[in-house]
This record gives sequence, structure tokens and C-alpha cells, in this order.
Amino acid sequence: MGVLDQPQDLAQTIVEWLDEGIFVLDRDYRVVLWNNYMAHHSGKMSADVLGRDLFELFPELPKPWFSKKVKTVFTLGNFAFIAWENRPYLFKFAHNRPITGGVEHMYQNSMLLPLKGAQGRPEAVCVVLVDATDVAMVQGQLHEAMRKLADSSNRDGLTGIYNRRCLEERMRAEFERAGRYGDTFSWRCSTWTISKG
Amino acid sequence: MSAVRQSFRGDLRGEVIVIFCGPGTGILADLMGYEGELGAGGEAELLLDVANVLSGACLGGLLEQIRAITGSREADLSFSMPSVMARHVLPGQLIEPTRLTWTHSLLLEVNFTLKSRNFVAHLVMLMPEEGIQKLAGVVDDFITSF
Repeated sequence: MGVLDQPQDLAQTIVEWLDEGIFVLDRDYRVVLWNNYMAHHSGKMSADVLGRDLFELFPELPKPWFSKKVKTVFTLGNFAFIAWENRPYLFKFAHNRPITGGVEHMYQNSMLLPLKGAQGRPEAVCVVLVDATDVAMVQGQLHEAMRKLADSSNRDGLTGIYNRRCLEERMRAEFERAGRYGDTFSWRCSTWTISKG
Repeated sequence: MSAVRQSFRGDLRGEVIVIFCGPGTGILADLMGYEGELGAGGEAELLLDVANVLSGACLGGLLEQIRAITGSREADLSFSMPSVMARHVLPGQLIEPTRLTWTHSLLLEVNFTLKSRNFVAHLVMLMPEEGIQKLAGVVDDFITSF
């Protein structure tokens, strides 16, 4: 009998080999499922983690915070999410760009979904962990480019000192601030001429 | 004000926007069980968490009603990761009308107020025309059942 005759086996094989981390926890944070992606990145094989407490296996996990996330899913039957922008990673895995990356660890997005039983109550929580390193790297480059652009538009190209545009913008901001707080402020302007002989 | 958006798909399709008004999210931190000082990342996470819980509850409730009326347990929804739309902006700056690609949408609004905490949030569900066929069918069935 081939794999196509057993849809259950097919689904299991896909879960095992999907390029995303998938694991399932019961109410006591014991691992019920641990796919190959998790095994390869954590160095802990499925057989070694099944039935064991996740926080004992990974003492470095921030327990109060992560258990709260898991608890919300059990209590509300809701989805929950963890974004790399707020928490760079759940598990400190190596990323898949060891040569071209220039970052120290994998950035991760995670989704927690309730696995409901026949009664409609969540009996386990499935965590799907997605590598967001590429997005994080691009975002980092974008922020750096924006910062450089903002800086260069405020400076004179030849001397590198702040230009008139920057001065005017700053004056406007200070004027508005003084207006908001009812302050008075003074502006001192001096002209320096530096001539190289 | 700050806003978080999240999309949902399944028997209903659309986006939820949760708009937070008022002084800030610090007042919610202890409610959600966050300890210590919230950094910038922590504050954003709090906004996302609260928005996710509110939108999950509202759409979950809507889904329950659909299930009750149709008598089917099949109806389901899945959510995408919420993201911060805007932080500390004026209401007019939230959506730029000229950049919208749609003209009609079903709007459902739910308002939340926690009087003891000076917390106000508006939850706005927006569903495009093709995203509400299921809902329209259910409402039709419900009306004809009287």
C-alpha cells in the first residue's frame, strides 16, 4: 500500500518535513508532537522530548511569558501570535544563512492554535514557528537606509554641517513645542566664518 | 490613538481593526499580567495581544451565532498574525481614503470601555462584498424563519 492510500500518513509525513517548526503541547506543557524541523534546529530528537515538560527541556525559555501565551489559547480557544518585532525568537536557533546572513540567530514568528476535541474545548496547543530572518534583515537594511536618507537630507553635502532645511524644521518644532507648553524661548544666531588661508 | 489590524478568512473574510484611544496601554499591562516596565517592544506586543483577544472573541461570537442558526459545526475561521497599523496618530491619519481599492464594505463596530481603567477601544470589522456571502445567507435564513 502506498502513501497515497493513507491520508493520515501523508499528513504526518508533511508535518514532519514541512520547512516550519511544528510542535504540540498539552495542558501541562508536555510535548505531544515535535517535527523534524524542531528536532534538527534544537538538536533534540522527537523521541527525547515526547511526553516531557517543555520548560525542563529548554530552561532558557521565558516561562512566565510563554506559559501565559499558551494559557490564553487554552482558556479562550483563541489563536495567539508572537512577532519577531517584539520578541526576536522563541527558541534561539541558528538561522539558515550562516555565510551571507550577518545576524546572530534566527528571527521567528510563531502562531499558537487551539486543537479542539469533540466538545469544542481546546485539548492541546499547536505552535507553528516560522523563520522570519530574511524579513528581519530586509527591515534592518530599510531602517538603515531611511536613517541615512534622513541624515543626508539634513546636511550640507560639502561640509557635512546641518543645512538650512534642518534649521527651519528644528525652529518650527521648537516654536510649536513652546506654544504647547506655554513657554517662551530664545533663539541665538551667530555667524562664524572660518576661512582657510 | 494607536491601531492594530488583523485579517481573518474562512466562512467570513475581512479585516479587523482595533483602535485604542486614551492615555496609553500601560493601564492594561497589569490586566494582561505583564510584569515590570514595558519597553517599546513590550508595549507593541501588549497592543497586539489585546487586539487579538478582542477580535478572536468578537468573531468567535459571530461564528457561534452562525453555527447556532445553521445548525452546522462546520463554520470556521482562521486568523493571520496581527500587525500594528499606527502608533500615536490622529484619527484622520489612520486610513488614507484615496489609497483604498474598494468602494463598498460591511462594517461592524463593537466598542469596549473599561471604566475603572480609563480604557476605550473600538473594534471595527470590515468585510468586502465577496467575503460576506455566508453571513448574508445566514441572515436571510434567520429572517425567513420568523
